Amino acid sequence: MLACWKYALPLGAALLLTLTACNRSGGSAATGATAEGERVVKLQVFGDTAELKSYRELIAAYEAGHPGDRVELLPVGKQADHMTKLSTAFAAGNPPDLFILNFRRFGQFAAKDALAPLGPQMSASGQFKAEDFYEPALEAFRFRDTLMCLPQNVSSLVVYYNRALFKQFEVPEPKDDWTYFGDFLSAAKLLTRDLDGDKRNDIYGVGIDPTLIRLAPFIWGMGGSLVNDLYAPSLVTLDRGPALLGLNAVKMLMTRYRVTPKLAEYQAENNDSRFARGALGMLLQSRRYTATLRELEGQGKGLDWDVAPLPKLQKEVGVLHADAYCMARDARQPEAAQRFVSYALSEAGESILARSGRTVPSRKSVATSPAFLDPQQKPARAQVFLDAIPKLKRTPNIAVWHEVESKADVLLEEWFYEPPLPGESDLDGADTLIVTRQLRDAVQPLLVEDLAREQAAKAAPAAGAR
Amino acid sequence: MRRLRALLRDWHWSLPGFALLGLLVGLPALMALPLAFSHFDGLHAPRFAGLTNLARVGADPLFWTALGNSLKVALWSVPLRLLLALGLALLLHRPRRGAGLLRAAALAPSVTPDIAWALLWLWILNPLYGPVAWLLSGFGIAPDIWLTDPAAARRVLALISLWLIGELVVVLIAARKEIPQELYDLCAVEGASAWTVFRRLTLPMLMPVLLLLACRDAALSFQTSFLPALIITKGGPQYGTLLLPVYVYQNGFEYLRFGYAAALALAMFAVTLLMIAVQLFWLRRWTRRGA
Repeated sequence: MLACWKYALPLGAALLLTLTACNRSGGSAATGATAEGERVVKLQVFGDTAELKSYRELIAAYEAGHPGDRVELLPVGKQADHMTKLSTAFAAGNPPDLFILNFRRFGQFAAKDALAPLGPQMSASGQFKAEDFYEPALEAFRFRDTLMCLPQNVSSLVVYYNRALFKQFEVPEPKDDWTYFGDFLSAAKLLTRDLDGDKRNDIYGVGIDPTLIRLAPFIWGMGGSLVNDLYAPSLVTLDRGPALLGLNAVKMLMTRYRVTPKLAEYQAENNDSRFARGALGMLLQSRRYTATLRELEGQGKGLDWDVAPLPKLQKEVGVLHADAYCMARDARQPEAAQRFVSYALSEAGESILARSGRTVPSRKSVATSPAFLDPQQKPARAQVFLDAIPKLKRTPNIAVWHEVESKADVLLEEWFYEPPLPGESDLDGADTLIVTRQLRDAVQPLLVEDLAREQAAKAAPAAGAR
Repeated sequence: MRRLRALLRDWHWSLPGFALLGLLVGLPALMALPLAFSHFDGLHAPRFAGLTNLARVGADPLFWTALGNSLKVALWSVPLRLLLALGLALLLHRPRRGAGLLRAAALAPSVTPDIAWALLWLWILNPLYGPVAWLLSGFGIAPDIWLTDPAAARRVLALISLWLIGELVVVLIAARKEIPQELYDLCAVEGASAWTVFRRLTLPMLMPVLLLLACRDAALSFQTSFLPALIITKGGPQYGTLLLPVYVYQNGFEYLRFGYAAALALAMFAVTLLMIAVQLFWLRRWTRRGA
């Protein structure tokens, strides 16, 4: 008998220790309050080191002005990992009180009623006034007519360009009204160089990630559309005339003019780092990249760079890249979380993030202030981001949009790097038509299923009201 | 009580392992089982869905793509891993100078954190700056072949799996040491060549262990290929390395379809069981014939 206990006791102790370690939701963590009576708000964000640094500054400033409130930052490097961590936390019943969501991902949570409606709640308590913020950013975070999350930024896709390369190769700098087929393509061609004569380009004119969100403004710019109905999409419409023209216009960068890195080069080094080391003349990126470039400058690896608006095709149009603060419906410290959001979106709070370069502030007064338009800080043409706001369009914010993009991106990347079909010219765009039809068919069941679910969800309260 | 005491005496070294296995693998697996029959998005309580998820698995073309890819990777990786492990075991089983160091070197990658070696392979396979690209270009092969050709990408995953054969080597060294030396002495007296000794003595004696390892490896290949497929090839090109565990992960953690992901995992479990059953059937037949 004694022998049994000899083994059982250490085993039992080990199991107990393991179970204790696993039990993360017990005690004070469940209420978000510490023994000293502090209210702890958990905030999960994603970003590179430069971005995370600015969040830490924001939190430090908030805590200094709000004794008794503490914000615990849960930083994640990449947005994809941020989403994985978030979904795991929700599934485990332990979501952070607050988190950053991009509008293309927020429908996933909003449709499932996982978010607290921050807009109405904070408007009622006087902590938020919608008129102080840019409408495109607010509109993107409305779900079933309710403002669920409060926009932190109203970024968009712009052209980052290496001024030193433009000067070196005597390429005229982009003007505010430059055109895609004239100025942009011409600049891309002039910037693409094989400097050492090894028949491999050392500098490419332009870098663009062949993903749906990056291609969208070109599709819209030629008069096309992504879906048949932005608010209730049931069909992807990339296989229709104007959208095909937009896609073909981008594909020409690869097939006709060869002014963008090839697949192997793209996989070996992404466009962001290629631009940062001065081997890319122009890069299509959002505001987030500014913080990275400024960080590099701080390390003495800075470039001479600036930003320009997206070149005009048939229409002037941009694509929204907004993120927002969202609160979990089951937040443990909802009042403290709202206080933090209120501070983060105040002039003081938004100015901290704006100075880091990470965001285009969603609050109009900060966006037009020196905190964002500081002439001493790059980019010199920061006004470009503000001028783009009235022309911004967005992708649907439905629950399955992220999955639609994931499926589309696999097909679009393959299409972008593949040569045209044998016997076909790149201008015919036969491969573009094939890939867009494949894409349409691949995502149609998702859209139809989501639409039916959404209609049922809308019908349910209406039936209840009757 | 006497039986329990005997059991503890025989198995006490294995008990902590079994307890942890039960707690960290068995229990979560059991808890995931009911999820396969429910709609669960991780945000709300699960709702009973009957066989809906399983029916959907059968009708999902990406599931069949992922299953085919996983089997193709296993078909390449399992024989290659066993072959390499057998070679190393035969080289390293004798106590000679430096053998301990070499055995440790063979085992070391198996105890390296997965993410570390995945990142290392990411560099090795870099299509411009990696050493493999440099070597391939010497033979006139395009260095980006695994980025454009799905079959090549799957073979790359099989190649990466060769990195983790430490456990196989250890087991095979132990199995080789179990073969009585007298048999080899007899072969020497008979003047048998090294190849004959290997073919007529070593291989048949190791065969039961090799077949068992093949069973284990086939099941394991479904799991060990997850990280490289996620980090290095990212499921591409053209879904060429979308393996079952990656597809399960995407559905669960990216699309918040935990119920469907559990159904996919259940299907993966069934396929694994089937593969093991087939191999055990062969093993039993082979051992009976041998007897």
